[in-house]
Amino acid sequence: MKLRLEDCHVVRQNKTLLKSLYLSVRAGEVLAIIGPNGAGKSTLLRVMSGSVQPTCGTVWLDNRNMAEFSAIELARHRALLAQECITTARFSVHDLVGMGLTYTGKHLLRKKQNQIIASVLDRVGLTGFATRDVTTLSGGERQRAHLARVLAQLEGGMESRGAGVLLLDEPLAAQDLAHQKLIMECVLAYARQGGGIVLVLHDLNWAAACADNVAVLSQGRLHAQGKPVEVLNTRLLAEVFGVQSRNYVTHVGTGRPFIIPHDLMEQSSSRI
Amino acid sequence: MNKKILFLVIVFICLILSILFSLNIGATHINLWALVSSSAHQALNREVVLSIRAPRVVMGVLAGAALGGAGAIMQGLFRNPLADPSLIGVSSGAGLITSFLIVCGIPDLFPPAYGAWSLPLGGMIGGFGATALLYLFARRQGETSISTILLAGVAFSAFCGALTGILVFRANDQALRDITFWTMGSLVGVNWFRVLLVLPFFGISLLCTAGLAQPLNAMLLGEADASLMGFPVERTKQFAMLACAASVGASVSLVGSIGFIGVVVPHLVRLVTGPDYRWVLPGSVIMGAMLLVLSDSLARIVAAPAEVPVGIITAILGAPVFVWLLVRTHKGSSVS
Repeated sequence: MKLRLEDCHVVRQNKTLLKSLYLSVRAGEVLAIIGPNGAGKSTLLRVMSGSVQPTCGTVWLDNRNMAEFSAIELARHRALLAQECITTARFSVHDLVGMGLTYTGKHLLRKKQNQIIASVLDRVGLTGFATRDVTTLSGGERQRAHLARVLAQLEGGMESRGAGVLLLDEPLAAQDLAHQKLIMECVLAYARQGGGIVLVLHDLNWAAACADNVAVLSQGRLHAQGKPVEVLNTRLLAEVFGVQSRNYVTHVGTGRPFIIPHDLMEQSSSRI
Repeated sequence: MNKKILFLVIVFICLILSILFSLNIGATHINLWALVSSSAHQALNREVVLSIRAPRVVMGVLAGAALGGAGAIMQGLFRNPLADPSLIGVSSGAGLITSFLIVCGIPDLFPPAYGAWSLPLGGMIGGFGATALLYLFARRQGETSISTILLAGVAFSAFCGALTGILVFRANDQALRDITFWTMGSLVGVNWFRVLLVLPFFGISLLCTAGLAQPLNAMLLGEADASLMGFPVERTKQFAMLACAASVGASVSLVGSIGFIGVVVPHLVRLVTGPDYRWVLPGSVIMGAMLLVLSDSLARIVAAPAEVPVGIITAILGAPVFVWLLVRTHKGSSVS
């Protein structure tokens, strides 16, 4: 088991953000976390990264209590891409990505580090961007540059201790369709290398298409958990998102669920 | 890479030239070359250069380096392009404690060789207290607020200024002279003993700064991301604050509050080197030293034979550059 949450609660300023959560991610597994705005998804990801301590409960990372890890050990075992990354300093893309390697790739030669940087930039579709100033990139490009930094961080410890846990908070939010696909391919490739993946997603169709498991969070509680086909259905959409009516279909080719706003489409079609 | 090395080399050469220039000017006309080459009849001139001008230049180098380096560190620590020891109240914190010590006559309670140490030590404590206090105020959920830090800094400076004012009111003639001298910011009357006084504090500062460049780089991405990448964020903050407090506090306690070097120099360096602290730190240290030595030379020239406090010169040179940087910042680049 790569990562396991055991009865985790998070209480801040008398407000319960997360309540009694049990979740786990195996090596090679892609877990998608979905839920309405303010459900606690980002907090959950921060708990999984160790940057927020649960008020009670335990997080296990590679079968060790996360609280026992040093900051550098943690950096080697897991990486988190936050929803918004600060990019005000005019670093080059190469330097930004290289920062991820500062500790986890300390033992590597400069040449090897440069290879890793080039490889992760290639994977996120930023080949040829290495010398660009990050403040001049578009929002989507910046997000991918930070994704490359996060991938480089895990890559630094890859040879010595294998793949780690990749935690991504809405990695598709700023991307066009082609780059959404590229990022999901990149994520799935990391899972095939033995990494554990946790994605916070708003696009339920990406969750349905790519995740092995889906965890539905609502008001800080785990509302449902399981394979996309078991979890994503009309009842869930009504209960958790408050979206009624016929929105749910099953994709004929794959048998995976597919969600489209039928009622809106019907309204629109009446205007044609 | 080569451009950055070239820049450091050029700034370093400028520093050497400004040191020679500074040694060469003053009330008596002394030919430096003749001083080195010839012998006996130059004894008086040699004495002037070695005992009066040299310690002053060395102090200028040390204080300028402290202000430049501390400005660079603080701008990274607060992720605030306008942070600098005098703007955010570190200098006033150091000044308040120094004035307090002078008015209470603390240095005179001990034999002169020991009592004098209380000033740089007090300056360091005041500087550290001010930095730590502002950091606590400005920090919300792992991020520092730019407006809070500036406003808190202004308020804190004003408060320290008021307390210093009360101290001035209570001071006797000698203490008043000392404090007035201090508030003007001047390298007048620096001797080797004073240089010796600040050296240990610069040692502390240098030790704290070693290995700080990369963590400061990462902290430009925010404390949360720096910590996720494995950088020791808390330790970096403590060491950075100690480094600034030790060097700035000690130099402020002996040469007074000298503005604008700390805020302007790191920005000028960044224009050439980019934001990487591995270049910004040494660049700011060397350029800060150069600018202060040069300003001190100007302070001695412009109203010769009288001397203008060096703080006035740095303000006249620094303020327009500061405004220019503000305008640039508004156009899009911040801790660039």
